[in-house]
Amino acid sequence: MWATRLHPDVSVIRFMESLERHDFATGAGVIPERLAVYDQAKTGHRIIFVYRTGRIQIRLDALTRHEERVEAARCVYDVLRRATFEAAGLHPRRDSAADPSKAS
Amino acid sequence: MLSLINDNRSHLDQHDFQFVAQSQTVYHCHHFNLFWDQTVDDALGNERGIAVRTKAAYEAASQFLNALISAMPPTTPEERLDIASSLFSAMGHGNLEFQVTPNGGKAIGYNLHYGLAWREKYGAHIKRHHPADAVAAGYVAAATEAAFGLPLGSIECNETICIAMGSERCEFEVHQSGETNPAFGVTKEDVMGVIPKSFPGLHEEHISGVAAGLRKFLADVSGDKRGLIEAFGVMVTQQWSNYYNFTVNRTLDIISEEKPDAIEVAKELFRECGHQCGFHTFGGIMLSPEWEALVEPLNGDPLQIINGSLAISRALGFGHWSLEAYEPEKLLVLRSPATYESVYRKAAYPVDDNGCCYLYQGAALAMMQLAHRVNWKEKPTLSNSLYLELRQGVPWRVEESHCVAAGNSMCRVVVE
Repeated sequence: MWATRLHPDVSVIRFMESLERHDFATGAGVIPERLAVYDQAKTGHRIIFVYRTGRIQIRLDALTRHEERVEAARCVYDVLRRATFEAAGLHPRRDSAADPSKAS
Repeated sequence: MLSLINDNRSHLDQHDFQFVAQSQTVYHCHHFNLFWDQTVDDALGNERGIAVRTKAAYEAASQFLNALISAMPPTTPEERLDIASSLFSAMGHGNLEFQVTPNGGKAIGYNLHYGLAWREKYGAHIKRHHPADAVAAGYVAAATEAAFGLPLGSIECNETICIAMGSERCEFEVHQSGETNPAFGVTKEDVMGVIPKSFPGLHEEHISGVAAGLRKFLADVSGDKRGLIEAFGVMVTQQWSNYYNFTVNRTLDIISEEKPDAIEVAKELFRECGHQCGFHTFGGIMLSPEWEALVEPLNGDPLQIINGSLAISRALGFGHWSLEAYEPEKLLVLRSPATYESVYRKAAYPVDDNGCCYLYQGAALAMMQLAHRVNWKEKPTLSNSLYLELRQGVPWRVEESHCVAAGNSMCRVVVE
């Protein structure tokens, strides 16, 4: 579980639309207007968003192999970063890939 | 299949007990489940531990399945096996495929909770040489009997291949036992017959409100297509409290008879299970986005942790755990009109001098640990290493001063 936060200036609706464009769809466990849950069908990984605080958590599928977890988390984080930039009307630089282990 | 569970679900509001049909159920996470089973095996040895755990699961599952199936319109054996498999998945235990007749056969397990969780938590460091899914083995035997209308106790099942031992799936052999048993297990009526009157505690309105929100959330939680429940960042099962109660009481009975000098050690280990539950389950839930969305972000106030833990315990079906007294760093006193541990003991055993609420005791100690020794503002990872670090030099001790199973009108634990 790797956590980060949506910048308050980024539109939540546009962020969610961006996630959907990156193959994430609404999953189980949604709490209307409180908690959004997005599943990536092909991997089972999840992005969870708390409306009131902007907190985002990456939750890897439980069956992800230990040796693949870091890379899997990086992939989801990359999608997350792209979705956030798209929602903000920006384009991520290739060399600015953030290290999810340093996310807070 | 969640609808079949919810249609037969009932809740004792004043006591925070949950039932599905006749069976009292609780939610527990994989950290607790693994530690619990390990404790039984450590006390009794692997072979005997597996036998006790399988019997516990068989009896609990038999009561559960027979009550649910008898509440439905008539079904064929094949349909009943499908129902059993779907219920197992919906409760977060994984997927079961039955290949059985009234004479026996086999079953295949995929992503079974215990085996999978063991592999995930320990598999990279430890080689396991005995199977982990006694709960599934007992369930398969009970389901086979229920499907074909066979006498209780006439089918046995054992796990022969397990994902925790390195296999890709689990396999179970099912065969006739050559025996029968009468009906068994503590039922909802038994529990209703022994519970004392309920009462509120400090901060009752806040704790009850949070517990109600969590309970509502949990009622909609069900196993995914793999039969797994991932919630609050842990793998969760809905399980029959009779499973835990049978295993702890049978284990302690055996130790009392055969190694009486070791009884206090065994009790301490079951208490440690409660400590694991409090640390990983209560702590994990409060750190989760679900908690932040449903309740509130954590601010580091110890009382927020104490009250949050009490609300969680109620939502999970442990009992009406209430706050009697709290002094920061010094004292925590909890009381409950009963716990799922004490009502079973009271219903199934003669009155004893000792408290029997080991989960309650251990979890209360963990609540003090979480409240005062974890820096919540840093959003810690509640890892096994942090657990072991905090387990060293615990500045408090816990005692159960009152217990319903000992003839008292409440279960009360004191941490000081």
